Amino acid sequence: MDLHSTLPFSSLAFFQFAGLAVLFFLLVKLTLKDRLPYSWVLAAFNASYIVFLFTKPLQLAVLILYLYVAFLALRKWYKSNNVVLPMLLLALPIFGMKTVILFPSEDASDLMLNAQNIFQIAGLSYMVFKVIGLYIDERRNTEKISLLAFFNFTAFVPTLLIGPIDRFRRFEADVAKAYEQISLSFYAKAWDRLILGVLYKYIIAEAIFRFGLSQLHDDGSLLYHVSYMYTYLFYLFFDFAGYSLLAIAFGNFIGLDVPINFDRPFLSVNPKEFWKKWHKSLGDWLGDYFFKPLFKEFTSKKILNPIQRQNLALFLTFTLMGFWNGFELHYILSGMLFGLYSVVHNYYIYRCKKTKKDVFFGNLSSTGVRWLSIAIMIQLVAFSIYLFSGNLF
Amino acid sequence: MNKKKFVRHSIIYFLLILGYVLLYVANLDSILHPDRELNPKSSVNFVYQQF
Repeated sequence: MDLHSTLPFSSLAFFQFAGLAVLFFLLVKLTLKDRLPYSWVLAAFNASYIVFLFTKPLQLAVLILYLYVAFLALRKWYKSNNVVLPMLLLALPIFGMKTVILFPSEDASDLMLNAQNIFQIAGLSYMVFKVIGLYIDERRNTEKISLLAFFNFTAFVPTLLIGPIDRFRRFEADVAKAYEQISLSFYAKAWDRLILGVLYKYIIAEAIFRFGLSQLHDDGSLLYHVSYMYTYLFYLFFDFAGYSLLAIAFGNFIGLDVPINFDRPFLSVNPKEFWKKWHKSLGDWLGDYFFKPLFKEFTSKKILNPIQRQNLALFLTFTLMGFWNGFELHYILSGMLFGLYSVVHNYYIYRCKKTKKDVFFGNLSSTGVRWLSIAIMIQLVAFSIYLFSGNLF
Repeated sequence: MNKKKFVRHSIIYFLLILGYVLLYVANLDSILHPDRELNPKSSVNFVYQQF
């Protein structure tokens, strides 16, 4: 295996490591189940990956330690209900990373290159998101959260790189019953997801890239842009959904459930449903830890009227998502466009309720409305994802 | 295994085997486009964008 160069699901070496890990967990269950708590086994597994295979083990260890200390300190000394400051403090490493990324390597000073080396840690954003969620959920709880539990939650190998973003209490409950879940039924479930993940990521996404995306020649025509838009949409879906399935399957193989991330997103009838089906864990995270507190804050300060508050909070939430993807214009505009879709849909619902009739579809049958909504959503999503791709500008 | 599941699994495994053979054994795209430098997409390019 290549030491310190293997990100999850990115090489054969990782799959070899994963195979050995599955065997390791099974052997421990069969021989040491009563003497060795599962959490210790999981910690040994996570630590082995970070020490031997992860690209920047030391930086990751420092990051986890920073997040743990910041989490404990905030929980102990920060008593205000306002969660903006804690969120900013926990997200400091992301700001560091996003800032240094703005400086291209060729123009950067030695200091900046060192900073890039320190902050650019694969999986950083997802780890920070998990810890922010943990802080908001547990800030009023006095129950101790050990470094071991924190480490297992933040450094859980299958979801380390790009999620799905889990919740601490769900994860802990799963760890408590993990030995029992290392069973034939879990293996069967894991195998199904593994096969589907491999098909999505390594066959369908790869085929779309080789025979679709890479064959498109930019002649500036509308046909090129439209072709790229739809091809990229499906490439991205199969690549990302495939990756998520592999992460879930790996978790299942070692006795842990991992939340699903994609659930037939192309059948969504509105933007809200789309984010429950596409990168679901991120949509839920943004809803719970950004939209809701923001809306609550606006409400407590009586900013605007209720529908305007909702719309402003929605728009800001998706704009944040755009900035999170990167400070480049195409990421930001893509996020803002998703925000605009949500605002328009929210206003449409509001108008329908107020006038007691469908202000857009009129008297069309419910089946007709459903299929037309699906068709419209696919076009809207395709365009926003096309902006995200950076191919337009 | 019920009929629906059997059909679903058959399709998945068929596509998996067919895709593997065409993409990774026969390298179909290099046969179709012999002049093009083979540059398979990194499986985690998307991942890197979002660190």
